[in-house]
Amino acid sequence: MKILAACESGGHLTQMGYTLKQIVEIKNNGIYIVLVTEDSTRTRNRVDEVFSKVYLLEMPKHKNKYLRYLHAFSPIVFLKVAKILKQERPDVVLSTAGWVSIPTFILAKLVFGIPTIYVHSWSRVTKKSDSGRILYYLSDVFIVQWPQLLEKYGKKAQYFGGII
Amino acid sequence: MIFVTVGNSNLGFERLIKAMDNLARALPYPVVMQIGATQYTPKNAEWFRYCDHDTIIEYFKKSRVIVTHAGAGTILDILLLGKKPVVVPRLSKFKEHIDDHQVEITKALGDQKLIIPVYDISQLESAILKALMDNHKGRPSSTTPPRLIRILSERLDSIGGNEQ
Repeated sequence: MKILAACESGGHLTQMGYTLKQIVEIKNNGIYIVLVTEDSTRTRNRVDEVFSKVYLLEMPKHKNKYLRYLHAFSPIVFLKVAKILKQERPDVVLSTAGWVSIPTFILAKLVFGIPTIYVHSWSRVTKKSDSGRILYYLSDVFIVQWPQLLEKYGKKAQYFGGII
Repeated sequence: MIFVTVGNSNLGFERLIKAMDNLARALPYPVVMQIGATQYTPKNAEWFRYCDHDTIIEYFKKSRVIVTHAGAGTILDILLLGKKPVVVPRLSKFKEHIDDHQVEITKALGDQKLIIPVYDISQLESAILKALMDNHKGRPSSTTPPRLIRILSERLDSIGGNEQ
């Protein structure tokens, strides 16, 4: 199975790496993982051995959150993500949130017809995240990590405990 | 060593770095700080801006006490090493983050006694001394993956198709 992991760097990436390392252990083999994340000091060198291939998108320059999300919808980012999806043709797209997951889910779901799994960040206890608000509608499986969020989202949201 | 980290963020955390610099000389161990985009540079402690993930894990392992912002990825890494960090949430009113979700995760993990929370920066010293004195034991490391990971692994199979 080929998984395309899409998330921001920082905490989202730590959660993604930790999650997938354990999934690889459970499955033993037959799993190939490609990562799409943002270009940062942390991701520029070696990211994590669990990812066979790493694609880096340019980091938003703005510190304002609305401008950051504008970056997620930029045509350059969309073209780059479309190229990655076309080249990789993953069986499933997995996200642990952040802006990178927005263009990836939109294209995967609406253009390429690839199933999507969204795992809400462990950092969000009672409030919806910006990517969650949008991607709830584009996720085949939508998992939250705190039970307080179940009622904030709709029926699709599921809770199976947190990452730790 | 007392290690201070503010994560991968492109927003600084002036309050924490300044407070730690002021405390550094009075503390019984040398202080090392990862300051990210913080403009203030420490005078009484060793510091650097960013580093890769492996390097930060090495710092965590070597530290007597870890003082961190409430970034989910950083806290996750520290808890997985069986340590109990002192956690200072970034606040949006000081432009330390885009919103106040770090307060929520701090409260939630503080309630579970997994971390030592600091909501008022004037309480930082007592929190560090508490961490030093109590010789806090973090959560016991578990060998079985959490339920979230097991279910996610099943969902990946059912949705992405298992080619085995």
